Amino acid sequence: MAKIFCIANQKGGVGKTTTTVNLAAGLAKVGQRVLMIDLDPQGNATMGSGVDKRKLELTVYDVLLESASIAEARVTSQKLIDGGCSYDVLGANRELAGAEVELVEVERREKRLKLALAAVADNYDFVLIDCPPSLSMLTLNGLCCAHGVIVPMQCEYFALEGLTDLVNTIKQVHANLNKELAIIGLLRVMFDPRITLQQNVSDQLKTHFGDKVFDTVIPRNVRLAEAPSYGLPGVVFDPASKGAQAFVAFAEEMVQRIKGM
Amino acid sequence: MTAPLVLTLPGWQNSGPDHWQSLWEDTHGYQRVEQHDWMRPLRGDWIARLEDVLLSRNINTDGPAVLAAHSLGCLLVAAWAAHSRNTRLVKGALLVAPPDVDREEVRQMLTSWAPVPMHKLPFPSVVMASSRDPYCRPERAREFAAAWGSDYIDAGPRGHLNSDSGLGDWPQAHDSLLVLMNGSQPH
Repeated sequence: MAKIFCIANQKGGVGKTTTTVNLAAGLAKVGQRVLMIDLDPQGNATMGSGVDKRKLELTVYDVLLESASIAEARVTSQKLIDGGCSYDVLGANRELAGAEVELVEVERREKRLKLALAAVADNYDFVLIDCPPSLSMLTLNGLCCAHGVIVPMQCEYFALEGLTDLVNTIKQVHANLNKELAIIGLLRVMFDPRITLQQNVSDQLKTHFGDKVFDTVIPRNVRLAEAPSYGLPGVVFDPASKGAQAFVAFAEEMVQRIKGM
Repeated sequence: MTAPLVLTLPGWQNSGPDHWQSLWEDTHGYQRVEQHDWMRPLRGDWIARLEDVLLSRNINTDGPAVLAAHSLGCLLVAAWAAHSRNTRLVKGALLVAPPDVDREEVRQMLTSWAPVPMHKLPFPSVVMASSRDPYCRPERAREFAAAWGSDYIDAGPRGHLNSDSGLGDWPQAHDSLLVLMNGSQPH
């Protein structure tokens, strides 16, 4: 049975999509069966996984509207297969924005994804969900079916901005909709140890959140930044880069973490 | 109260400068709902865009809008109205030449739009259809009008009622729009 994780942070631009696609590729690289679900209408996680969102016939939108199953809508990318880090992709494009309007009157609208995932959960070890930065019906669908949330964070002065909102949201979903939901951990991303402030914030995170902070730290790395323009995760684009190696290490840490779940 | 704002909703591939929608915008100041992608229309994307445009207006000062839709824009109105909680933001809709996306050859071009929503519209509306439309048989257009609770006007054998139909600024259709703007169901 798959472990399902949302990658979420209500602050935008923190490396959420980079984390999703590289963790997916890293997990695939260490032998895990992975489904990546893009719940953001921008479709960046889809494109960053080697899948052209403009050519998709079925997307997560069709799954949420129950006009297709995940088994019908998921795709694989030849680029990922060639790179030796293949995972399945349930993609998104702008169409997904309509789900906010179209699901508004539907019963159990926040559980559509959970119901759909139940049919394929045995096919995977991990399901990773890239959530949009806003608290929307889409994010709620992700949180309702997840065992936990991975929060990527930059070690900057305003790092905790947005975290309070996210924690409150998770508490509400935990209380009302999904008793299993918990924050699995905070992942320090785009980290530059030469910057004293980042080191200080990183230390503060460790002090305040203890083992909720992942041991792995993702460094600021130009190859990770370049990879999306080639439609690839950094782990596939340049496996030797420090950023790629950090994500593979993070994948191994995740595999260890779920053994205790 | 000033006249209600008219929003024009073009169909697939947008409406060119000679289209009656464009001429109405030039003459009367009606506003087009610009979609992100006219060439590859995604139903969900178009619905979200229409909802955003309507919600961006202040109904207390602006009043509800009247929609003037052509072709796929008609199905946008029907799909949006079937789901939105904000249909009070629309006073009426002129629906010209709705395409039958349930037909196989049309469905293949517009994959995410089938089936045609067949729910009654919660505001007055008029369907104007051609008796010789390559994208919809007149019997089917009448079925749409009946399902949507719309009045039906036969616009004659004039193709898809677009710029190729030589309609100019099409006063006949504009008269129907004016009736909707004045707040009554035309007959």
